[in-house]
Amino acid sequence: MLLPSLPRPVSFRLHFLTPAEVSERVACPIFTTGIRAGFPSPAADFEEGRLDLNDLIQHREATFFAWCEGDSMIGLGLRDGDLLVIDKAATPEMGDIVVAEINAEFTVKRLGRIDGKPHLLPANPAYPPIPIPPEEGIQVWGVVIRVFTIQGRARRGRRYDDCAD
Amino acid sequence: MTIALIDVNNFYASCERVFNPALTGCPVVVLSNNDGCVVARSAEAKALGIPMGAPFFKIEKEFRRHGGVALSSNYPLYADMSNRVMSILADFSPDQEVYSIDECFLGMAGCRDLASIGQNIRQKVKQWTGLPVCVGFAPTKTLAKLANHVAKKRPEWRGVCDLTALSPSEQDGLIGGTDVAEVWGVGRRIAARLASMDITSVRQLRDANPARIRRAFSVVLERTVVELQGTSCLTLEDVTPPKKQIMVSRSFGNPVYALQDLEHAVGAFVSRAAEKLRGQNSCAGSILVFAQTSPFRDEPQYARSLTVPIATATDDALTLTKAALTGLAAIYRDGYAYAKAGVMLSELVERERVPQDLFMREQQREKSAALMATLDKVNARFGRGALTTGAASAQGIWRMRQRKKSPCYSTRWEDLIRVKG
Repeated sequence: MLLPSLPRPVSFRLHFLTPAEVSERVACPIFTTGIRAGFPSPAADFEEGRLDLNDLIQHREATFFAWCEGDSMIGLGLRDGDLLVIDKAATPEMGDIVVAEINAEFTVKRLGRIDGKPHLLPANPAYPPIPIPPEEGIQVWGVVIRVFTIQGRARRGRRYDDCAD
Repeated sequence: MTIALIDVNNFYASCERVFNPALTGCPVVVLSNNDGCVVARSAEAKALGIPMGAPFFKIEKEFRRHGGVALSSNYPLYADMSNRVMSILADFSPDQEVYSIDECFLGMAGCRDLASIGQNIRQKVKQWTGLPVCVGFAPTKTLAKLANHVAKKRPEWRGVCDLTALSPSEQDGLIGGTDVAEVWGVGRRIAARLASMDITSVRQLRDANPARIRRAFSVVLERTVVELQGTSCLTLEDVTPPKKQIMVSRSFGNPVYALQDLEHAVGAFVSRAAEKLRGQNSCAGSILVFAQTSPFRDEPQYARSLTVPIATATDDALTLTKAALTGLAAIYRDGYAYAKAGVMLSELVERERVPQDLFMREQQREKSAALMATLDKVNARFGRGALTTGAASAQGIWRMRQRKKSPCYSTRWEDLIRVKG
């Protein structure tokens, strides 16, 4: 069967649409292990990772920080502006440095005895020991397990109030 | 299997108390965003008869006369304390479902002497975080919730109620005297309808015919009845399924009039929503934007929303912001005091399933992914909102009013508790 003849286009041109810009990509092999020129490190097989201060914390969920204000504990090395690391999971024992609630405020002192009676002891002769009433006791908030002190040059003009920036 | 429900008593108020000994013994309430309503109460505040959701301005005078302290909600603090509690509780069981900011279910398969495990849980959470919790044990989630309620309301249980240790008659007595509205999933409205069917106690609901309940209410409430009877229908979900929609909206601290100020707010909402989106490895196919005036103010009212489709589902904050702002410009009308706005991402798909876009070059896609990854990293390190799109402004006049917010005691260096040395 003959097809009806169609008028033939005078000129026929196919337009290819292309993106305005064809970016050329060059494939580069990437070696994640790092192939270096020169000698391989003789220590490469012995790397141990860097130390993290968080490793010194035993109970992460129970550890809180606080700023120390005042000098009543100076004899034990706790200075004004020091950062206290407090573990609430630790059960306080005689001799521990603890954070306790006194008159609706937090205070840091050492748990100890005077004449066999329990006291909160300052480490500065300018402050009196605080007797612990035998009946009601005191509320110990947590045990101080570490103290961070800023030393020397870094200390000048750098107190806890500046931590905001 | 026995299921435990552990929940923190008066969570927000208890968190505030841990870090502020001055709050001990005095009534404490925590207020909603913009310090509007009471959203949490200490036991003392409950005893004063302050209802949940009370507008603060109405109760303020009387509350202060009783020495009450009101605080703005401090979400960074509550989130940190919640994470600590959940992590401690995870040590008690391999099966944990964190149900809300202050409660979780634990699977107790193979555990004996639940009462003493319960006391251990209470003691450990209290010592480690300073927060009081109550524990309920039962064969189903619905009953565990109920057991927890009993443990909390009745001091003789010392904070732990093990329904599995009770004889059937003891159980009957316990739930016979408990209001049906205390059942998980039974709200005030359902309770009222149940009352018309002479069902007012938990026991009566338990003994109702499940088929009748389904006909009168829904499959959901039927399941509740079956769970009350001791057959578990709801399993522990240890992984939260990815959300189908992500919504971020806020009421403004002050009314907003100008389009530019609205844009700042909406920009900030999109940034946060996109962050959540990337957190669950999804992309959004459309974004809804809405703005409205306050129905509580005697002013001309206006509320509109618009869904803007996105050609190829994306998690790119910039693309989403552009779409949201286009939508906002379309619905914005001059002359209204806008009180609230928000965005909702929907048509969410897993990132790996997003089809290739014919019109987006591979390079562009990689660039966007790298930019978003960097954005998330910067914000993880320097705090939420540290780096954001140009459209967002956290400090605009729309910002929430939180005049009575306590310090972020456990998450910000400058806010740590001060201890007298």
